[in-house]
Amino acid sequence: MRNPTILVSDDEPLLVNALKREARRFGIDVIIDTKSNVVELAQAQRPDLIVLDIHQSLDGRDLLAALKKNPETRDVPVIMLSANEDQFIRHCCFELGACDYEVKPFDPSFVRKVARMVGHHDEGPAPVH
Amino acid sequence: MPTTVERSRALDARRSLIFACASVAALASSVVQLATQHKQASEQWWELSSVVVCGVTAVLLRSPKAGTRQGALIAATLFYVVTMPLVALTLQRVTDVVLVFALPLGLGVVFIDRLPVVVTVSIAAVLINPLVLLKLGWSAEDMIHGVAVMVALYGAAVLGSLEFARYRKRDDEHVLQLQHAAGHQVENERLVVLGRLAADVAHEINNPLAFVTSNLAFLEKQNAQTEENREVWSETREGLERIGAIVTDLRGLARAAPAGVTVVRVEELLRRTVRVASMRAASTVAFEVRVEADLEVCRGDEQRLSQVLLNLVINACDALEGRKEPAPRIKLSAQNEGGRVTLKVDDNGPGIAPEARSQLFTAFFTTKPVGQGTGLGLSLSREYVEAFGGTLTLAASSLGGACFVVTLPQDA
Repeated sequence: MRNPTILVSDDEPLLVNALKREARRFGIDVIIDTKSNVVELAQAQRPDLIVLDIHQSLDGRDLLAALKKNPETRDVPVIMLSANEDQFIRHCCFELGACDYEVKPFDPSFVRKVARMVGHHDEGPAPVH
Repeated sequence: MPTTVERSRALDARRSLIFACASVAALASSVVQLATQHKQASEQWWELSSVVVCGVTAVLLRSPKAGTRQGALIAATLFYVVTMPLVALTLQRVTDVVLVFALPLGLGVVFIDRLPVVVTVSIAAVLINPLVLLKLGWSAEDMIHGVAVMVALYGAAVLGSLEFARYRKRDDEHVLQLQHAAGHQVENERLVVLGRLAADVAHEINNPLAFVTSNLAFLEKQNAQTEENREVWSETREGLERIGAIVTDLRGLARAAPAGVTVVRVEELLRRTVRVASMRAASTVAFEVRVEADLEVCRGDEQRLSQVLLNLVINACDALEGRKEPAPRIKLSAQNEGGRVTLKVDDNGPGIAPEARSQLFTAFFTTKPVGQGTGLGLSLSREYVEAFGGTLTLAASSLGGACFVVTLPQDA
C-alpha cells in the first residue's frame, strides 16, 4: 500500500523542500513541481492532494482551472498557496474549485491540516541526524 | 483649466457693453442736438459716425474669433485717435471731448480688468468733471447733455469691470476645484503604485518567510531540549511573526480601492498604526497607546482610517524630529465621548503656529520645508474621515504640542 502522496507545485525550491521535510514526518510522500507542470504530473502520478502556488511562471488560477477541467485530475483536492491575502483572488480560487486557500507564511499547523485531509494523522518524531 | 483665450473673450464681452453704451449715448446726443438744432453739422456727423463705429465694435467684440475682436478694437481706436483731435480742434472743444467721451471710453476699454482703478476714476470724474464744464462756461442744456453721456459711459465702464471681476472670481474658484481634484488624482495614483509595490514586496518577503518559519519549526523540534534553547526559538519565532505583521500592515495601507464602512477594532487599529509609524520614527520617540476600557469598536472605512491615523502620526514624528529634551512622546488614545468614538493623536512637539491654524485643512497648505510633503495630507485626511460620517479637528494638546482628533460613529 503506497503512502499518501501530495504534489507541491511552487517555483520556490527552498519552500518546496521545507514542505517536503515537514510532510515526511507525517509519512506523506511529496512530488515536487517547480516548473508549472502540475497538470501533467498530476495526470501521471495521481496524488491524493495538490498544493498549488498562485504566483509562479503560469498563473496558479489557470493551472487550477486546467486541473478541474481534466477528467483524470478534477477530483483531486487542491489547496491554493499565495504570498498575498487578497479577498478577490481568494474568492476566485474557491469559485474555480479549490478546497482551501492558505497565505504565506503559513501556520506551522498547515502540514498537519494537509495530513488530516489525506487521511494520515500520525506525526512521527523529527528525524535526528 | 480655463485658458488665456477664454479670459480674453470674457474681457472683450465686457468691452462690448461699454461700446454699446457709447453707441446709445452718441445716438441720444445726436437726437437731442438735432431736436434743439444746437450742434454744427460736422459735430453731428461725428456723433452719428460714433453711433455706427461703437455699435459695430460692440457686435464684433462678441465674436468667437480672437482676430475679429482684436481687429474691431484696433479699428475703433484708430477712428477715435484720428477723428477726436480733428473734432476737438475744429470745434475748439478739446476739454469736453476728452472729459465727456474719450476718458470714460478709454478708461473702460483699457482698464476693464482693474476694477479699483475704474471705480476710483469714475467716481472722481463724475464729481469733478461737471465743475470743470461749469468753469468752461457751458450752458445748462449742454451740461445736462454732457453729464448724461459721461454718467452713462462711466457707468458702463464700472459695470463692465465689475462683471469681469465676478467672472474672474468664479474662474479662480473653478481652477482651485480642478487643482484640488488633480491633487486627489495624484494621491490616488500614488496609492495605486504603492499598492503594486507593496504586493511585490509582500510576495518577495512572504515566500522566504514561509520556508524559514517552517524550517525553524523543524529545527525547534530537534533542538528544544534546554530552557535556553526554547527561549531562543521563541524569540526567533516572534521576530518572524513581526516581519509578517509589518508586511500585512503595509499591504493593508497601500490598497488603492477602499473596502467600505465596517466595524473596526479600535485597539488593533491604534497598535497597527504605531507598528508601521515606528519604522519611520526616530528610535527615541516613545509611543503610548491608551484605549478606554469597554471601548472595542467603531464604524469606519478601516483602510482609510489607517491611512489618516498614520498620516497624523507621521506628521507628529516630523514635528519631533531632532528633539532630545524633553524626550519626544506621541500618544494615541481612544475614548467614548457623547456617543461617538474619539481617536486622538497627541504629541509634545512645538505645536501648530497660530497663523497656520486657519489654513491647516486647506489643500496644498503645508508647514513643512519645500520638497517635504505636498500639504495634501490633512485636507485629504479630513475628506476621507468625513466620507464615513467622521470629523477631523485640531484640539488643545495634553502633552503641550499638537493634538488631532478624529471622531467616529460608534458601532450600534
